[in-house]
Amino acid sequence: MNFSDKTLVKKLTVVLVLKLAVLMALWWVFVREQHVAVDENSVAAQFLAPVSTKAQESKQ
Amino acid sequence: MISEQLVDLSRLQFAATAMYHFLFVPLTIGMVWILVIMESVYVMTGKVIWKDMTRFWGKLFGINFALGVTTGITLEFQFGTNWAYYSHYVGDIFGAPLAIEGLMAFFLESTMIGLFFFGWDRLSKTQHLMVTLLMAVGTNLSALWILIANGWMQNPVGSEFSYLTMRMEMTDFWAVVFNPDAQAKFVHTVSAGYATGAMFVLSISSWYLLKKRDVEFAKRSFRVAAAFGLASVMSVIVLGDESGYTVGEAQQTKMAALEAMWETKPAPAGLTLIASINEAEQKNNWEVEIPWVMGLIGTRSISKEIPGIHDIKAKNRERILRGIVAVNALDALRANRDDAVAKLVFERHKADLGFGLLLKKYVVDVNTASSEIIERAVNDTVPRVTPMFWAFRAMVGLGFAMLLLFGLAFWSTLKSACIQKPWLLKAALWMLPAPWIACELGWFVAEYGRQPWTIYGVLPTHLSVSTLSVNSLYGSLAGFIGFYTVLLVVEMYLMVKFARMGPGSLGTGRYDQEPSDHAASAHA
Repeated sequence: MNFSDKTLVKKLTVVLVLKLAVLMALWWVFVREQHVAVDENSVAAQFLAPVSTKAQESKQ
Repeated sequence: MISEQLVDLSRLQFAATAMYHFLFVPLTIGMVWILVIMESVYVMTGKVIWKDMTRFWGKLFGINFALGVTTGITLEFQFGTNWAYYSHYVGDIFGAPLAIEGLMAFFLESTMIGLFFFGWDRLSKTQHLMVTLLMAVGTNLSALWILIANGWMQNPVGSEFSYLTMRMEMTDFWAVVFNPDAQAKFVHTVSAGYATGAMFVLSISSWYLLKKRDVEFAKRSFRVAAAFGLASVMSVIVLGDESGYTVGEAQQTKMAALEAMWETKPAPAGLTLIASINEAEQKNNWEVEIPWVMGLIGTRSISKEIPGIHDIKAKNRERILRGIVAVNALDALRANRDDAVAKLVFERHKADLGFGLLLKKYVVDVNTASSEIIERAVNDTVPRVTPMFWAFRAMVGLGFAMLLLFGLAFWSTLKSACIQKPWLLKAALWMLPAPWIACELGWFVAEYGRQPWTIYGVLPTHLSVSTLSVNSLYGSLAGFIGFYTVLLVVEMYLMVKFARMGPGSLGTGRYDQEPSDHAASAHA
């Protein structure tokens, strides 16, 4: 491996490490706290509301 | 109801990251086969210049791979973060090819890339060639599984909706794998990648030839790129035609929009070359048409009609009305799973469930949709025509321009005259961005043309997004765009730097502009 190859490997390693760090930071800041739990009931509520809700209420 | 701003921002974020990602991908897909060709010649002839070519172009390939890797991972994360309802609804099917891609193709590709760069002194010639070949296979398998997933979004075969789990479930894995849309997209997309790799090598080789440096190295690279590029771009065009046929079969709205075909024309329909599109009045003010061609491309016959936008909308209006029945039956089934009547009604209308759900963009309860709301939902079923029409023509135009360039380049190499034609070398240099622009336009046509659906005819886009805060989306969108732009700048910087250094950067002492450490050691 010659000098230019070593320099390139060093630069690419720095880029890869920075890339992982920035992606993690983006996730940490903008995504970590945003929990969107989805199951069959929440899909039903999203897609069918409010008819579903009414039906369940009348069932109860 | 989901806010439109939330939907638009989520779409924009996905589109922006996907388009950045696809600046890196086609070069990887294409260059890897050029490396296979060059190294095969080295193994067969033993001429060391071919090894140097493999190593030099491999270095540029490595820069692109290192910068591009993980830019696609954010897309997969976005399915979970920004498209949680989508992930629940279709994750059973969509997740399978993505998982296989990671486990089978990406691991193979990454392992072989490591061996490619660090195995030159540790493996025999043939073993190293096998590594390069497996690297190419891994790269293409990766594309295959991603495009199987994408093909299913365009044409959701081998699956059905379950009212028990409120999600799509896979019924036939092999139907998903051999989905005609996925297969046509795969061959069309990888061929576009091959053309991109070929253009990259052709352009940089042309620059060396214009500068009259590393001439023998550049001439050989030019020859490989010209031949491979010509074959690739011909494949892109032929397979694009096949892709057009599958679109005509499965996605009539997309076909009608990209042809600005407002009315159903008698078979065989003509191909509109250019037109003045009047979206407000839903007509073309004028158009230039080639008779028969569209009918042949879209239906492979001279007797089948291609439906126009107005007829498609009329059918979609019927489907929305049936979709309302399906939504109500589903609702009744959710309340009582043993409701036999509701089950019967749902089974009869479930193919139109997605069309009923289109109304959820405007009303909370689909039963309250007025005729005006239904009309708006009907209009939504066809993407905007103008961007589709012109993006498609720009893509095709660039494809034919590349065909001409590669054809001329190949012809000149047969005559061994490429070096005597500066105009050709300059044209090759200036055409460098063409395949990237064409690829991005192709994705735009495919994905914008799928709207208003995430899963065509099944799941509307506005029901697929996560209920995130708009501020967090603005923040992450700005973060992604800023970060990916930095990556792109670094890629350009490294590519230009090492392309300028040329094969001399290998430090073999055989080329112009050898690095100073080699020159110094040779001097000593």
